[in-house]
Amino acid sequence: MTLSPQASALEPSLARVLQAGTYLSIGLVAVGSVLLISAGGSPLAGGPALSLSRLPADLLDQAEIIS
Amino acid sequence: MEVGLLMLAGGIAAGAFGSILGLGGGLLIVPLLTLGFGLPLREAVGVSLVCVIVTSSASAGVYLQRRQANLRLGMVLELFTAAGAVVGGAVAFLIDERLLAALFALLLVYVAVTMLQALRQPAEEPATDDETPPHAHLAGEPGADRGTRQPGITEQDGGLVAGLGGPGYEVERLPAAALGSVGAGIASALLGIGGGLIKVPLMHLVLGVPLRVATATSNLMIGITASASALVYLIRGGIDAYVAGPTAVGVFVGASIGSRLGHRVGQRALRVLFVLVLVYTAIEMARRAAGIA
Repeated sequence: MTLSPQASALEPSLARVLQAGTYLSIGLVAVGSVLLISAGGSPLAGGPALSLSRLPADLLDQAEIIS
Repeated sequence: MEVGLLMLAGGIAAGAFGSILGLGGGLLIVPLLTLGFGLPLREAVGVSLVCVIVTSSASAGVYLQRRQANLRLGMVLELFTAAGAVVGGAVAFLIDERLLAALFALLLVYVAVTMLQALRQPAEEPATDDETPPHAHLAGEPGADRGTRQPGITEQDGGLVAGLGGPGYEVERLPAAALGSVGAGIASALLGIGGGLIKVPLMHLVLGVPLRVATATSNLMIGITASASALVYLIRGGIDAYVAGPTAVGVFVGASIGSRLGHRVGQRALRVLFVLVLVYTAIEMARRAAGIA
């Protein structure tokens, strides 16, 4: 199958997005896990349940803490 | 603190093992979390799905860069697999955990038997590594006009199915593969696996896709399948973020180590060890299903 130039360019671009996204996500999860473990917390203590209504407020809070 | 570190270490071991043996981490993560850390099976499946997303994302990027995966075929099949995954995710919350444990035990036995059969095959006849699908029509052979696209025939001439093939092969029996893909999606959501165990044989044996392409395409697909089921689990509160974090990081690190060590490790001894682990885990899961454990 001969791919069009647009289709040929799609795969490397997708690969880059996937790789960058994976490293970024894993990096963030790793920071959170290290903080959890170093604070003496147990993963089995039960994490917070997902609440879609609370999500924007939580993200804003985290952004404020980071800044 | 110890539990978190143990989870991280367990994730590394599962990721490395899975990567070296060419299996997803899901097969090991679920027993690790249920039998090792006492997590309910459904929660372990939710965490395992997160780990599958991580490993798939990491490896799919490499396969795409090498242009080994058939992106178009993967996306078409994924429509059916993701639909199956959403259905499976919903069903997982309706059925008894003991039934889930029984299904998982059956899956482990199936994988153990498959690995044993591969071990018994002589080294000269690596049938499972055969690049040519059993019913593929190669150029110059009878039926070649059906199996290999003729020069000058474009995908517009042949419709959707003709546009799904790749260099040297053409896709066949798409409806059967679509049906199988729905099954792969349901299995993935119920058991927390990527579903590559079903997708690779489906693409290779039913569609006639070369094994290397089928493996690469399956690697790309399993992350999307797991994302669809994980979304259902997430909405229904079936993913514990505190458990998923260290485990997923461990699996990612382990898979990276495994991909570098894979060619240096004696595969045969490792496979024998893995079969023993699978059999033990299957027995424990069966006991759980029977209400003994």
